[in-house]
Amino acid sequence: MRKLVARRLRNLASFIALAAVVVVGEAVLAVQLYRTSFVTGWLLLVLIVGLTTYNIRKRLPFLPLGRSSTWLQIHIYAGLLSGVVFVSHIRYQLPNGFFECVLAAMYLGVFLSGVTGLFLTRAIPRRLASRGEEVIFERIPIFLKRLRDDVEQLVFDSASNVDSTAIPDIYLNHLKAFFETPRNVLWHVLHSGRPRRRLLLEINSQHRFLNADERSVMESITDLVKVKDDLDYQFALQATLKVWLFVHVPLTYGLLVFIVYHLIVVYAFAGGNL
Amino acid sequence: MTGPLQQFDWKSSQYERPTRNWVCGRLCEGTPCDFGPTNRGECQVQSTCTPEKVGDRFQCTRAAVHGGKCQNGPGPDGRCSEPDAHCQPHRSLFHKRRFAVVVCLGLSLAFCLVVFGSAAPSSLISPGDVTLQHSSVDHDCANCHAAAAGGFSHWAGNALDSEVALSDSGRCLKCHVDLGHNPLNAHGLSPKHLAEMTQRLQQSDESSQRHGLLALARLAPVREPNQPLACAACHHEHRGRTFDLTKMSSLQCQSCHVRQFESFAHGHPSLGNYPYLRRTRIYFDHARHLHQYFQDKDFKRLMPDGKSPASCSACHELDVAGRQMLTLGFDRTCNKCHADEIVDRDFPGLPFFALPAFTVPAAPDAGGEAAPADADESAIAIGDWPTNPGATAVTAIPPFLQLLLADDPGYQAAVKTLGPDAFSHLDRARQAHPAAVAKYLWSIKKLMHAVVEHGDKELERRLGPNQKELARLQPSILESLLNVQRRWFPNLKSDVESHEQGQSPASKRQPVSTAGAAIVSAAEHSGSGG
Repeated sequence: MRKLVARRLRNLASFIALAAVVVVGEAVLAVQLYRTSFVTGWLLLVLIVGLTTYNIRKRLPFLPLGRSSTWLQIHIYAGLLSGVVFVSHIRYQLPNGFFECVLAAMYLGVFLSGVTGLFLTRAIPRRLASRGEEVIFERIPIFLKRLRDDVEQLVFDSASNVDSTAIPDIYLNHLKAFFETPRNVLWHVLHSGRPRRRLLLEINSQHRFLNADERSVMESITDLVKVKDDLDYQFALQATLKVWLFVHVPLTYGLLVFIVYHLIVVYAFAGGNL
Repeated sequence: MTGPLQQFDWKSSQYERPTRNWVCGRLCEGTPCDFGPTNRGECQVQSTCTPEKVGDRFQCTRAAVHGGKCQNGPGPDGRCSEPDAHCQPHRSLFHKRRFAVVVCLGLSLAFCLVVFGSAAPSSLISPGDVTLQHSSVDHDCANCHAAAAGGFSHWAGNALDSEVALSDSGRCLKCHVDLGHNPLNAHGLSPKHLAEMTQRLQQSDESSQRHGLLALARLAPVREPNQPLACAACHHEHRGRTFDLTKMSSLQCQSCHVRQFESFAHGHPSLGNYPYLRRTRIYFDHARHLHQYFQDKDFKRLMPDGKSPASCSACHELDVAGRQMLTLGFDRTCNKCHADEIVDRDFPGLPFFALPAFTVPAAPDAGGEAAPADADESAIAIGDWPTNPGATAVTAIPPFLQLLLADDPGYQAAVKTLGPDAFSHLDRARQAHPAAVAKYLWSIKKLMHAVVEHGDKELERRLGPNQKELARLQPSILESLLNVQRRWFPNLKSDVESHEQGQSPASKRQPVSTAGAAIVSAAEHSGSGG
């Protein structure tokens, strides 16, 4: 824990120092009548390209390119620094040209999705460990199928052993859809237990129609319902951990295209002489 | 209760490969096969086989990895009896994300090429509106940019030219034809002139404290003063209709200048005899003052009595010959609105010369009407004396003035009679000690007369050998005292001569132009000394 705090303090201090260098450096160059937009623009480009290489590095785990956790730390703080450079690049005001607005919107999309991802990757793992069994995301459909088979087995056994259709009816009316696919994804992301409580309440309300054997079966089914709900919780949060990258990564590559175009236009119309 | 869903062992736990492009089509049903699809998305399951005829019977040939020989075996006609269990593999999450990347790349590229790839640059790539002054030429980018003559390929070629901004400045000069022979040099000066000025200023020993940013800016490569500058180096366009193209911070101005200082109040080089000795370096913006500042209600509160200048004569006057229209001095023009911007608030000033408040009896008016009788009793023949000491007049004699009068026997005798705080109550003491009051006032007038007559030598003599360095303070105290004498005691010489000859000069109230004129402080001295 102490090591983590020390690392965070060291990285934060480095970030603040670099941000100060950027802001003061920009002010100094502005005083010297240098075209600071070119300087901050190149710096921003270097940062964005450097940030993009993290995505490439993840695909080359066999190369000795340093620890992935180190890369991630650099990625996070370089990303935050790029925000400072970006604000300096647009001269602390909103852009007013159409192309510049699109470019700025794309950058903000990448930056904000990155910040969102940072928040999610810090908040979700703790929640994942707090409820249910931690499972590999790709295997969740298999476990869903297993749970479905288990509960259907209980229902069929009950139907054949007891001369009553109460449990099959309850399953068909209240539980079948629940066991088919992952449910209540949004509720789980919002950390709400309302659907779970509502479903358990419905099951409990059926107890008065069941005899002792059926109640015993129903309790087993209730246990499976809880396991399924925990599995849905894992699915919802793990999917959230993956979905934000669907915004962050594609937008980054789109942004690179816009940057190249921006670079050509700027150099063609404003010249590259600082 | 149920057991754990997940088990990790070599037999029941497969190695997951989330970076594969395809996953088994039966995964969503919860029954994926052990093989998984190929990299091209083909199912590898072989549930059926091609039975082999051995003798007169067909035998199943399904490999062990695909489930081994089937239970039913092939039919008598040699056809496999197992159903085809091929699935349609699905794209993995990783592959979907990569697909999203490709789509986003394609859309971005298409957006750039379709929207901006026309033969001529579209207004969509403009980084913003140009200023109002340039709005008449913004319909065609080629008016200001050579790159606008072609399409995207032309821009790409033009982007490699590092002198674009400088060459585009030539287009500015098509309209701005009145910038002299060296329009791209600083202030339109020739390189030779700039080099001479730079060398001269570098040799001068005048130095002052520099702003921190300027000190840091010295670390960056310094621009060569003789090199031409693109117009865009100082005048940034495309920042909106109302953007001030001429706006530059004082630090930016100083970045090129050899002599640097902290602020206008601290360390600004002297302006010389503004504005007559030479043309001021400050270009007065007539258009902005007449059409904006003098019209705008917000600025009227800064003006004296809230009234803007009504005519040219508010700031200008004809010379004696009636040929030239001169500009009135700073204190009569700019000072009225801009004084507060220049006053050094941190150091408002240290008075070094002041006059005591003293009411001179009214002189007979033109009709010969005498002054009131009670005035005669305390009438002291003092000649000219400012009548309006002002609200800011000091109540105690400034130490510097006291130093100058330290060896004056008349002053010392008067102080002995009137007391050390006589400076503040001369009017009250005039009834009881008219002679001492007269000595006190004359000692000040004689001091000023001697300084006017003998200059620095008189100051040094009065200050003595220990403090004579005070007389050489810069800017010169003498200059301020001479200025004060002209304003407050225009007839000083004749008054003193009359007094020394034993005659009584006529006491006159000397009107002064500004309130608080009877005090000369270090701040005023610094400002007026220029």
